[in-house]
Amino acid sequence: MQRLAVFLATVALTGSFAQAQDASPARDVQQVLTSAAADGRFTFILFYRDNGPATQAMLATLQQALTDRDDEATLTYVDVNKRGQKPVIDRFGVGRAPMPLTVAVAPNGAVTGVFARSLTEARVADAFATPNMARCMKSMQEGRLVFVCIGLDDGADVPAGVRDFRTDPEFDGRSDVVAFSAYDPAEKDFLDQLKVDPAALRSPVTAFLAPPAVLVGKFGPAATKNEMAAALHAAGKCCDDPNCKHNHGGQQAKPATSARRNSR
Amino acid sequence: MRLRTIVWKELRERPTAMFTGVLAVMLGVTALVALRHVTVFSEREVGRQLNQLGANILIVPKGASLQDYYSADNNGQTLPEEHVDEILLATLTGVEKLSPKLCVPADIDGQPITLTGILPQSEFEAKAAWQTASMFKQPHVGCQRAHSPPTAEDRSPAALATQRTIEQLNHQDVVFGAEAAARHDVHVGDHVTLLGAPFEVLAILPETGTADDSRVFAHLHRVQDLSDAGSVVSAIEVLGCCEDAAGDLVPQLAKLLPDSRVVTISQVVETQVNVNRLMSGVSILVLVVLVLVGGASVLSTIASNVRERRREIGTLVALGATPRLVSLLFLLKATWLGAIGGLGGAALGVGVAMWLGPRWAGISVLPLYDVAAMAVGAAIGVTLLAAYWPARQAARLDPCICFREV
Amino acid sequence: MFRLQDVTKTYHRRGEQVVAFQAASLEIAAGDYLAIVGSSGSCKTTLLSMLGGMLSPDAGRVWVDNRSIYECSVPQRAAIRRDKLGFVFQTFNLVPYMSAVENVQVPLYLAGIAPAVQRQRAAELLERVGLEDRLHHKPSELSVGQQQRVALARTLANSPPVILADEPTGNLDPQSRERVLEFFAELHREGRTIVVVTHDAVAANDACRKLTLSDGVIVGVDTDAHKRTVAA
Repeated sequence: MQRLAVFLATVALTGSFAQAQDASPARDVQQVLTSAAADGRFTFILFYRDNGPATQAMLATLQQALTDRDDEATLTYVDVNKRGQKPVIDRFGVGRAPMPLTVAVAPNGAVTGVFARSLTEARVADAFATPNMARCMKSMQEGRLVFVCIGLDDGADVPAGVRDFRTDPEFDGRSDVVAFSAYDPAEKDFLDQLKVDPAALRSPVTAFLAPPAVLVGKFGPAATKNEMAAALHAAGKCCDDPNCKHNHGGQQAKPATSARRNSR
Repeated sequence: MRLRTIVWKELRERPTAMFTGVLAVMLGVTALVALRHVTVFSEREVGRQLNQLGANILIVPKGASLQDYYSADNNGQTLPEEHVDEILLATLTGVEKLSPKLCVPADIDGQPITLTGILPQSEFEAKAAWQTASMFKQPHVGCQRAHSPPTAEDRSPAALATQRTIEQLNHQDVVFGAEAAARHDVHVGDHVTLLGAPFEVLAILPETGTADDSRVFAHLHRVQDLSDAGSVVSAIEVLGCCEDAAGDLVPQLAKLLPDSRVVTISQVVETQVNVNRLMSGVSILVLVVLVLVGGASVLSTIASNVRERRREIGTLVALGATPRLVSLLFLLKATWLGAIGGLGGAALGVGVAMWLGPRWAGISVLPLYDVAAMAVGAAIGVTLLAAYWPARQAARLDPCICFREV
Repeated sequence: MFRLQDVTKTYHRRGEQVVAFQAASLEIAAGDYLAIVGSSGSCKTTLLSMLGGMLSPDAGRVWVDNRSIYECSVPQRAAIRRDKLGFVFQTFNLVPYMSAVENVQVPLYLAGIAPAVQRQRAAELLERVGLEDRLHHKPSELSVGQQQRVALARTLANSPPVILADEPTGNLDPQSRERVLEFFAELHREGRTIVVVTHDAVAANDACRKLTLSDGVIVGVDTDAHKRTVAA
């Protein structure tokens, strides 16, 4: 009886995958991405090499997780064996990745999740980054520094220290600002991740992020450019071990610019 | 006529009698000098490797040994290349760079060579997003280093020698190790054919003293295609952010890739350090043996020499030699024996180390003059010490023996 | 030159103390030519050794030129031997690995003479004993007589005023013996003191005085024995 149930489930999943494949085979993934971006929807791309049990399981999880998110997400598929799919495979660098693999792409093009071999609904949910989180991710995926300016009202101000930092010739054009209100309900997840509690917030706060995903520090409105540069300098170190190779020259007495030059 | 003339003439007169004494000292010094040389250069090599390889972790097929990897002899054992992405996707704390490698046999004009496929760091750029994608979801503990853009030094192909990775490598390019380039008389810009495909020599690496010197590097995917190996690699070098991070990474990597063997360079180095420590201990043992065997041999040689020369000693005393001079005669002789044995042993030891070093320990050995000088000094010290007692006996000898018919 | 006073030399044999040599008084004047004779075991060589500063008596004193040599330090005694005494041995005691000239150089070296001077002086001495064409021969390349002449040249190297000879003719053929004795006579004529231990009656008769030992005791001193002596 149990075997029969498994068999039926497998048949059902295989059928749904076949239907799903049929639903989008002719559509170029790039078109899907463009269309989803235009609609403000996330795109989940399932890369697979074969239609094995792992692929079936991942597909099932994806479908289950996206059931109630039709307006938020689109699901598409890429058979990595097909030559025509090479541009998208190369774009996401998954040509030799473990399969099956799902890549979550935010409407702004940021990759918000990459899941290989197995997947849970919780992880799919995690991939729905808030709009500002996706902006931060996009910037960092392009190798840029991000100042997340969290204000107490609608129009978050960019602190003077951040403005100074951004106009410093050393960092000119290498950073982005993402500003939003601490009370924006859409950003609750992001604020949670940044450990910013809007209720406890008495003054604006700036979270300074560096690639790949390092929280360099959080600064108050009075923070200076030099304080931020010093924090970035410290983030260039691997750890506090004095023998750490990245710790050489990490003496505070040295001008911060020498280390900053190496940091994006 | 001087004291040294007397000693030297007597030594030349009885060369065979001195042979055993010198031989024992010489063999002791040879062993001591050779061991010390190999130890010192092995330590330097360890230091150099540590410096060069830093906090590396090596992932090899379960059945392969590190020796197999470094000697490019993988017995056909490989790992799936997708392990590289699995490591990236796991966003493990402290992983700084990944360098998958595939070693395949090839030839240039009929001469065998190891072609190593490597993946340039530019290939990882598309995957950089993978780490960002998991931002905040898996908060890092400890190592939180922000990435830096590649420096000019990183971009140079020579970075492969110093940093184990190369920034850019086209499918048509090859990079030659120093020794391989010299052996095949290859220069930058030359065209070579490997596995039936044409390549252009992009760079020649500076000498590193490692197996890499004899290798030729090309793009991993090109090597996979040309050798029909598929998407596999021989090993994945993981460059840890620092040694602490590397140490913590090993169990995580082992858990992530259960079908592979994960070792840190520091583990290898630790083994080597232990070997060095053992060799240092053996050096001390050899020194003790030198003292005991060489000393006993010299003592016996000089004592028997004193016995043989009793009448001569008596005659010298009758002619006005002081006991001190008689002692000096034998002590100077011991010094000669020590110096000859020591110098011969040092030369032989250095030679043995230079010959065996590259063959047995894979290290090139150069003469260490301070070690040789210390060994000669030790040999002379030992022989002097050993000769002291018989020399004293000689000084106390009854000079009346010169009147007797011996 | 030499003076012995109450000298006793004892040996230990099988736990017993045996008096080997005893002399209440003996004087050997400078320029004397003394032959010490006696049967084997009469302690002739013991007496010679004590005169040569190489065997200390158990009791009594031995003076050389008014210095009690066994009360001198070891280096001082060595200096006395080097400067005042020349030894001639029955078996010549040449250093086998050295050439004739080098053997003669040894006492000169011990006297601290520069190597170049040593060589010149040694060559002259060998010339004096008729071995100018054997300078670089090793003892094994010389006849017995030639070896003794090298030994004589070595004895004379530092022009010692005293010659102490132990059976100098014992191993020589008659011709060589005659030559050595003539040489001793010549040295005596030069004013040196010569003390010869000998079994050889001819050699003993060449001396001015003959001192006879028996069982370590001086049993007679014959002052009429000389034939060729020239008064010192």
